[in-house]
Amino acid sequence: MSYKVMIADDDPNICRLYESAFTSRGYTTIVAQNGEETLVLIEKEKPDVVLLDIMMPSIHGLQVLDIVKSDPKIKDTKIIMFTALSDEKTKMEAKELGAIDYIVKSESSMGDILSKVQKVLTK
Amino acid sequence: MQLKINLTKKFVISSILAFLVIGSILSYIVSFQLKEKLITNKKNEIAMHVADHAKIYLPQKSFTKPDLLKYGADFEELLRAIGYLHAEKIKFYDKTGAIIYSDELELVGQNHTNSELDETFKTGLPVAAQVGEGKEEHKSRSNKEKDSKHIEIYLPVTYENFSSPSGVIEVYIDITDLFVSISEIQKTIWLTISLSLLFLFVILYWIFKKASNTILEKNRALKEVTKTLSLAQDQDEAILESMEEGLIVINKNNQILLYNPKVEVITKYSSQDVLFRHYKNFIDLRDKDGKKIKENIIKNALEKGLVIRKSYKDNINVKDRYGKLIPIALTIAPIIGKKANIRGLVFTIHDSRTEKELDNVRDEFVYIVAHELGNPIFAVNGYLSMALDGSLGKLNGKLKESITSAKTVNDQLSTLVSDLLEVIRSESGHMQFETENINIGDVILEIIKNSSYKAKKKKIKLEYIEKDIPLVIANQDKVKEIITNLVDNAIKYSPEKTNIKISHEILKEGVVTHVKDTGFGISEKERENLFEKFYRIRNDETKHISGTGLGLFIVKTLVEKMNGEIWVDSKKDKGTTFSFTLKRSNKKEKGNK
Repeated sequence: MSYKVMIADDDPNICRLYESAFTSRGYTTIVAQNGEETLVLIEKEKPDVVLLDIMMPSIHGLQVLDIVKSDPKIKDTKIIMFTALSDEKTKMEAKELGAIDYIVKSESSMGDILSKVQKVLTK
Repeated sequence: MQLKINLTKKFVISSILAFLVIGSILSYIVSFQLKEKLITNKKNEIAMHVADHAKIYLPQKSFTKPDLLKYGADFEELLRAIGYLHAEKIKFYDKTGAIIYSDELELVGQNHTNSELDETFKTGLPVAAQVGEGKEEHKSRSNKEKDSKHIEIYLPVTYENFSSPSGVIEVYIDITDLFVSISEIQKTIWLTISLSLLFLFVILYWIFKKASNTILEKNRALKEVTKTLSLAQDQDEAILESMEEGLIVINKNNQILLYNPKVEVITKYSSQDVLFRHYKNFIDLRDKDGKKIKENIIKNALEKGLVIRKSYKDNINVKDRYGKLIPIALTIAPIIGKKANIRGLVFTIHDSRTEKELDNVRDEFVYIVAHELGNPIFAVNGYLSMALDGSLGKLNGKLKESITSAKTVNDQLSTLVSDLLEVIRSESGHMQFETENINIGDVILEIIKNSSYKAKKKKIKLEYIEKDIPLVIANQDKVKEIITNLVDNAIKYSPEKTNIKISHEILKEGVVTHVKDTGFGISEKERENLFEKFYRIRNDETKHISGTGLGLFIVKTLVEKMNGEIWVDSKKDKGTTFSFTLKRSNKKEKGNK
């Protein structure tokens, strides 16, 4: 059975790009384009890993993380923050809330991202 | 001047009055004492002579009236003998008070009694009475007599074998001369006392003059001081009123002593509400969520005398009268007394609402830039990467070349956006990161591994001279960013087939890292602005090299944030060495083993 990767980002281009990148590598993908949808799909689809954007409409990515980690049913979901924000404060906050990794979009190539996801899944 | 005149007048008048009173009293006392003394001397002198002569001329017995007949001649002799005393009248009393002899014969046989006579018989001592002191006997005297001074002396005649006087002789003597002498002496005394007092007055006046001059000087100085103080007070009030910062002063008993208008505006309490009351109800420090600040900074400052500085970025707020949280910057400084004791605290409060709003605007801007610019660049980058790695199908040569160029340009755009965001963050004080003890050698090895592809493309040899490096206090990601930037620059600005060397120098306090290339070099003029924002060296060698001009500015900011220094040494056409320091950790563990 293939790993289920969820891409939660409000930018449809990014969603499409990574959906295609992960699918071509044999992963099952789920896409969510806002915080609310992300929460619903996490509970419903139980993804193995979530690439979670921070700057999203309705519910902010860090709030989604906080809610997931506080809900006993889904708290074990592995969440990698996947954002354009590179400041240390946000990084620290995400770490404290329970994110397993933090990817700054502008500092990472597609290869880096794919290998980070692979690493988290095989942990 | 008016004060001086008043003082002098008062002094002169009161001194003259005092001297007159003192002089009169002194003169009276001295004259009285002198008069008494002279009269007593006279009395004793007469008494002694009369007694001596009485022993010679009068028989040793108690006299009675008939004795006059028997001893009349003896009395006459006695009177003659004491005549030199100039006694004008003489009487001789027997024990009953009867006159048994008198130069006024009509008095003989009469009985006289008075207190002086009784006292003489009783005490056996001479008694004197000045005539005119209430003695009826002499009131009928002529005016001439009244003008003259007389004394009555009652002299006991006592023989050795008799216990009480045998009789008493009363002599009436003119002592006008004595009074004339007394009067002369009194005048002399008056004069002496007056002159002494005058002399004393002059001396006192002189002392007074000097003292009053000094007092006037001091008074003038005091007036000046008062004037200056008043001006200073007005100045202080004006400063306090016009200050853009809130100012509070508390004493060591925690009472508010000063609460300037700006604090009133910030907290909405008036100084009348708070003066001399405990500070804790009026300086209510809260965090951004409105919770009381756990650390009792005010108490600590008061007990330890520390200067405390908090920026609004430390999330410090003051709760106003209506419960609203006002972001503030706060400085608390102790007031130290002469004995190095803490006497109170001075609070300087800056209303940071404007900065906070600007911060919010800036944060929003960063958010928008990161999101609206960063995401498309990232998406484009992803698609270009996928195209290049063949995930989207096979590319022919020309297309691959074009997509590679597009990716390079997109990468530059991505770097520019992230550099811009980093610059904005550093300038707004939002560049915050934690430091720990890190092994810089490991970071460099990773960078060399990552950069080897770029180096190889230009046939540049990347060399790392490893040393036994101690741990440094830094943020691993930021050190990586610094060295990557320096190494990338070295590769970019070096011709092909050159060397780049990374080495260390271990100092007592820190570790220096050198990144040395043998590239184009940088002229002295260019070096001056090298770490400035958006500065790029533009010459023939660099015109084809892309860059944002922000890299070295960010590197410098990061190094300084970690308490380090950065500098550059370069020789045109010989190469450049960038060097930076990082603080050594106290931990003994070595970086490279």
